Amino acid sequence: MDHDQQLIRLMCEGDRDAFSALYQRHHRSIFVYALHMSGDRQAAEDVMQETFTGLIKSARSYDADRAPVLAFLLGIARNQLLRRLRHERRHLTLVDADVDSLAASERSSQLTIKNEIVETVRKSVLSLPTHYREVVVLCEFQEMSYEEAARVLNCPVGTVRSRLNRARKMLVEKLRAIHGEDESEAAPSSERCYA
Amino acid sequence: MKCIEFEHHLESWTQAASKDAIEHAAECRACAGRLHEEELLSWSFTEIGAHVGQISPAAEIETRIMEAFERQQVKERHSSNRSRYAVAIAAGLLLIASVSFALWRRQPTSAPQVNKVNVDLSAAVAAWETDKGIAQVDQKAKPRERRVRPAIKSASTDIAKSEPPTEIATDFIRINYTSPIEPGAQIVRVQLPRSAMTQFGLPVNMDRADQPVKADVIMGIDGIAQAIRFVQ
Repeated sequence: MDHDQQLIRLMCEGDRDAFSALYQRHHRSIFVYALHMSGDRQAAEDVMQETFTGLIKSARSYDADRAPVLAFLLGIARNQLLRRLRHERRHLTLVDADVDSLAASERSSQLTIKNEIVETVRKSVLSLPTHYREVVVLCEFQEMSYEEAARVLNCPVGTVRSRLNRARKMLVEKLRAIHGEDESEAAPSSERCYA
Repeated sequence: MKCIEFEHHLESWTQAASKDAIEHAAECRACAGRLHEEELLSWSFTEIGAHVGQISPAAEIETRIMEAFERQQVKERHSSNRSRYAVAIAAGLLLIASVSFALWRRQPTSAPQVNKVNVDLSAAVAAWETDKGIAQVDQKAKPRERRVRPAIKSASTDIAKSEPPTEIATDFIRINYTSPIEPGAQIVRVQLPRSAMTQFGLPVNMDRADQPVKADVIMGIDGIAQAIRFVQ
């Protein structure tokens, strides 16, 4: 039994410290995931709170054989997010005060093309369809393996791989569209030899 | 490496391109562009990750979550107590029901049901005694069962009316020989356990041993039972 499972067991017995330790270990991952997915700090905080509230209620249903605790928590967070996204129709949220403020602070000091590219990618990720966005968030931002992401998303590993590949292509296309002039000379064309 | 292999390589892109891919990109301008795009994308992801990593959730969220945990614990304790109370109440009710049922089952043996017939039978008993005499208890002789005597019927039409015409009764068996049956004695209809018949030497049908049997008891004016007969 690993440390997380032990904490879950103690938490089920009413141990407040065990729950606090679980929170300290995983709240950041949940928050970052929710922030990447929603692009909104308030929504991310709400999702994080709902996730741990959900854990309080459903900790007894946790099955250690199926997934690690983090994957279980991310699964709860994902359900909360999808419900929220469906409800609020926030698929295309492009503006976030906190994230933008960070980008803006850098822009004010040194507005570079690379920062623009980062901003473009960030907004492009937020505009991806949910099932593509979540694989990008888990595999690229959270640096999870395909297997770990598949456990969170409850889908085959091959699906994760193909969705990620497709998402990357979509993001490259968006980059090309926005920075067309810069990239035109390097863009793939019929010059490529597929023979 | 050919361009198509290079493209397949990009499809399984993880963190960096392989040596072969880089060599191919150095020779092919189009593939170099694709490689640059993928690298730019990966670099963007890293940058975004770093930016978002600087944002922390509000501190009061933890407080709220810990409060929710404590509330849930209190709720579970209350729920557990409620369950215990419910089980205790259910057990109590079950116990009361069991005791009541047991008492109800035991009632015929401990307190026979008595149907008092408020009829003065002195004339009937006197007539019956002179006519037939009171049957003596004979342990060896098999008691006769016969229909209710017409003499009693005629003497007490109320009793005859109250009893179903198909009733069969034994003779009256004296219980107490110390005093004669005096006028004013009363017949009382009672229900007794069938085993009571054995005390008067009467056979008991074992198929119906658990069923009570009706009996008429002649009660003297002093309240002492004088004679009994069993009715079917």
